[in-house]
Amino acid sequence: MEKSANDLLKEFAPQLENPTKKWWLIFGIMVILFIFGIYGLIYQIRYGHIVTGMRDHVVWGVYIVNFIFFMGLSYAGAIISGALHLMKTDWRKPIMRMGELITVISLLIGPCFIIFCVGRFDRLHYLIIYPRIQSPITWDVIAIMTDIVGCLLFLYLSFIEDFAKLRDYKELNVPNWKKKMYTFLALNYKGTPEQEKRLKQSKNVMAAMVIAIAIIVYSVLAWIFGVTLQPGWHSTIFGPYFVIAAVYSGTGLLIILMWFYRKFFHLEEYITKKHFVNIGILLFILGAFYGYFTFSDYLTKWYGSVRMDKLLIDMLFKNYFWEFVVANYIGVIVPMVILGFKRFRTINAITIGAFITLISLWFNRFLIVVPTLETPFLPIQDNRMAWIKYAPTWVEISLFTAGVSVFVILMMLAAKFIPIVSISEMTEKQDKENIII
Amino acid sequence: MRKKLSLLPTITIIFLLSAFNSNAQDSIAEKKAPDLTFVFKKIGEKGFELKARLSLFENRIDFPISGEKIKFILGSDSIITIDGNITDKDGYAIAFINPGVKLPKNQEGIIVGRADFEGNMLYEPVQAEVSFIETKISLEFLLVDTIKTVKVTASKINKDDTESPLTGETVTISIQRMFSRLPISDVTIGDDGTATAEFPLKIPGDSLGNVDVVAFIAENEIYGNSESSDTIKWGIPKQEVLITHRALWTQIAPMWMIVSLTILLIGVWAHYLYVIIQLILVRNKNKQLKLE
Repeated sequence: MEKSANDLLKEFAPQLENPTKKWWLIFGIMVILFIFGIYGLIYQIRYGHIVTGMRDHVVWGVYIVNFIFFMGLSYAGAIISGALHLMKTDWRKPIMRMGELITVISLLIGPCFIIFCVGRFDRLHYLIIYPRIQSPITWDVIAIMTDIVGCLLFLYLSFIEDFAKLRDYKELNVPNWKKKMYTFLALNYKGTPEQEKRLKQSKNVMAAMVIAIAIIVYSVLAWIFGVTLQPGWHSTIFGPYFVIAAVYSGTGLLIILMWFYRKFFHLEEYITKKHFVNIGILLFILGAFYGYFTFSDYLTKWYGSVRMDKLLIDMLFKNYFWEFVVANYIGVIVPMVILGFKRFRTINAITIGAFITLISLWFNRFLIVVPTLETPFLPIQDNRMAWIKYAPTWVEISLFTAGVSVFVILMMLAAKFIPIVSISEMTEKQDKENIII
Repeated sequence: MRKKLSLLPTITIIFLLSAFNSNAQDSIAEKKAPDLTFVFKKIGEKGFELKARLSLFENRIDFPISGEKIKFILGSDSIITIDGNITDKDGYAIAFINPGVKLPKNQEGIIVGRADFEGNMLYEPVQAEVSFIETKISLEFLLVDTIKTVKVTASKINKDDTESPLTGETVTISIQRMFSRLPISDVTIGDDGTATAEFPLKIPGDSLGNVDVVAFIAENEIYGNSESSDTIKWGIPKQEVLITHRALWTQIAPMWMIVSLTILLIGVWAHYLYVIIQLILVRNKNKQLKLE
């Protein structure tokens, strides 16, 4: 028996109303981490980029790693939520909103790391004033701006029906400004057949668009690396490899969020083992593809034995051995073993597998960016080891921590503004019946 | 609820205050030991450059110390003092000595120089010392059998101001580029105090073909730093190449690139526009219904 919208609103209302002690505690910790990041940023602005581990050789460090990582999560969210929307199966309904939120929140955080990495803030607008169409950096700027607009639009479309339901639910105990926001954002939506038709059409269009844009934009990001002749970057498969790796990490994050929301919001009735297993199977398939692409990329480089590629691969197996093992062995094998055997497919085990996926994919990005820059083509005069070797400083770590904390803060705030399980999706059939009656 | 709400800002303020306070306490409790480097360089006929840098090396990072006074002291018997040099934002304090000034030398004809930072509330005092024998380097440009040749003459200045050839020492001949010097030859000074090197044929110069040639001795244990430079019209004149075709490396992008990007962007933004129009219609439809 499907629950009515009113039942669901009654059930989910406490999530939107007064925050609990636990909520404030987590929120407070995240705010402290965020302030730590702000302190690091002020310190960096005060003393310059010398306070980071970046030097003449390694000019891209943890900041760019985080940029790629968060952008990957965002595109994964877009692809997953877009695909879930187009699938039209019932089981997807409780988890769709999480995918949509991952998309937008990661997309807002990712580009901030570019700003942290740029030495001259004052020249940032040159990218827009003096664009060079031939440069992949320009493509990326255009693509990210287009993507932000598209993802926000898609997220908003998916919220409208719930805004209307929240507007009409009189027992909701939230501040007046929040009620006014629901009324304003609901766009006078009353669920008339014509309104429903227009909204559905728009959602279908945007679901397809966000998938396409996510693939294009992440490929553009991959081409920033791929079109250079640097060892380890100059690869024809970098576009699809990046996309697969992104969806792999994003799927992992979705599972982790499902676990947290299920536990803290008591959504056991809605997010069941079936959801974990279904998304887990997707993780398994993506893991297989990711492993295949990784092996293919390194095999061709190793077999070719081009001097610089050989130096790079030697470095990966010597200097970055453990990072390489985590990124390319543990990150593929462990989640696949957990999901490959039925007996291991418990909710907690799948979440652990997803967490390993997420960690390993961060290291994967680190191994793409840093070792290549430590293996430059051109010899530079008066080299010092301290300039070649890269290690992140506390400033970079503080900003990384701030990025993660902002993600958590925004996910928490979003869950205070709109039910994390889409009410309109859950009551889709009933709403249709009501319209017919 | 209010109590709960006020807890977070309080924690934040305590955290911030404790962070700033601890720094202040550290600095009062213990003075830091800065680094001072000192380079004394003879620049041809232009005189001498005295360059000191004050910095603090902490957590693997080199922080320049600006706004501090550095005193330069030359000689041991008779002393010249150059005071009032303030370090800039990069930690450098620079002073110049005109070519006519006679520098104090000891019995062996060695010039001793010292940079002195007296210290303050935050930093301990620090000194850096250099000693060297004054040298003289000069450049001459010759055409030897139509081959462009650079002739370097190098000598040391004795205590009695006489000159002796710098026999056996290596002098680097280089060309000044935008960011650094491009070495073209390392020559060893002969018994007559001279050495020659062939000038490369394909060195780009400015629009007139001028290049700045620099001959120098750097960080020599006995002679320190000394250099001399001169300009000669032996470079290839730089010409502005006017590129009118479209390519990946020209100012104007290939047409296919512009067309593809435009189609893609129009395609995507047209869909956005369609959706926005739909949203406007969703909003207006209900207003219409209300009116009816």
